[in-house]
This record gives sequence, C-alpha cells and structure tokens, in this order.
Amino acid sequence: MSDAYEQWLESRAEGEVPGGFADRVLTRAERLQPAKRIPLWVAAAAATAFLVRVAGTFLVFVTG
Amino acid sequence: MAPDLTSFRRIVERHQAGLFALVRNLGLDGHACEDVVQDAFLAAFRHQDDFDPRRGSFRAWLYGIARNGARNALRKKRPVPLPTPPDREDASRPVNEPAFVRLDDALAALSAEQRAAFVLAEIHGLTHEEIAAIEGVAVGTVKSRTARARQRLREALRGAIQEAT
Repeated sequence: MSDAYEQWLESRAEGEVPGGFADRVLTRAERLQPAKRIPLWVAAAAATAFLVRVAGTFLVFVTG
Repeated sequence: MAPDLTSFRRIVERHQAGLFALVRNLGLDGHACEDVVQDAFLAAFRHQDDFDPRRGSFRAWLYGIARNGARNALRKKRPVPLPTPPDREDASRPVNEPAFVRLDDALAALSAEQRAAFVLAEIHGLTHEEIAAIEGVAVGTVKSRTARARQRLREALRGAIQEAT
C-alpha cells in the first residue's frame, strides 16, 4: 500500500513544463529591468555644449 | 541590487517543474497555471531583495509566492476537477492506476486549506514551519491539517486496494 502511495506522491511532485516557458519568463523579466541611465558627466557635458552654442549665437547676433 | 538575468534563468530552470506541479496540485491548469507560475517568477525577480534566508529557504519563499498567486486565481475561477499530471495522460498507464485515481479524487475532495498544507508538506517537502509562514497560521494548525489530509488519502487508498482484492 505504501508503495502505491509513495509512487503517487512522486507522480505529483514534478510538473510538465510548456515548451519555451523559461524564454517567455526571461523576456518579461528583461522588460522589467530599469532603462539604462545616462551618466551624469555625459548629461552635464551635453548641457554645457548647448549653452555655449546658444551664448555664441546670441553674441554673434548682438555684435552683428 | 541590480537583477541578474543569467542567474535568474538558472532559478527558472531549476524550479519551473516543481512550481508547475505545485500550482496544478492546488487546482489550476492550462493558461491559468502558466500565468500563476510566470507571475511568481517575475515577482521573485522584482522583489529578490525581500528574500531573507533567516526566514526559510529560497524554494519555500518562491513556493509561497506561487501559493498566494494560485489562491488569488482560484478565488476568481469556478471549481473544476483537479488536473491530472500531464505525464500520466499518455498511453503508458501506471500499474497502480486505480489507486492513483482514488488518491487524485481524495486530494480534490479536500478543503483548500487541507489540500495546500498536504501538497506543500507531503508532495513538495516543505517544513511545517515554512508552510505556517506561507499560510499565515500556527505550526500546530499546519500539522493537524496535514495529518487529517493524510488520513483521508490513506483511507481512499485502502478503499481502492480492498476493491481490487
């Protein structure tokens, strides 16, 4: 009797996994990852370059 | 801590078969079962920093997430017969098939609480302490639920054997 019981327990312990399941989970997990942030120094450099350009254009306009 | 997809894949591959079995044993099948297992893995991925090894094993933590997901899904779903493990649906029927059918029926007939305690303890090997934390009840309650469920299943098996002899 205990043999049948143990076999039945075993038959219920491992479930069949649908094909491609791990890939589907990984795809969803990838989407959950935070977007890569722009480093602060890159943002600062871009902002400075923009301001210098605006200031230069303004000076050219003012001084004729 | 930044989530690591490589180690996450290893976790999925290691625990997927067990989690599918758990959710099926709790009464869900098909898309509902896959949805619960997927959501459990993703919740573990998102909240991995919440796992505290002092409170139990990683496996118990993951199974607890899936158990809660299954409980919520079952609330929204009308009752259906307990799914049979797919590897038993093929032509190669086990020798003990009548006994297996009686045990399946007895498992399906248990209350949701008894079934959860029995499935987690007897089929998936979690400790009574781990199950108590998952179910939010005292360890003694888990022990009595498991014992009562085991007794029902033993009675069902005894009935099947008496019929066969």
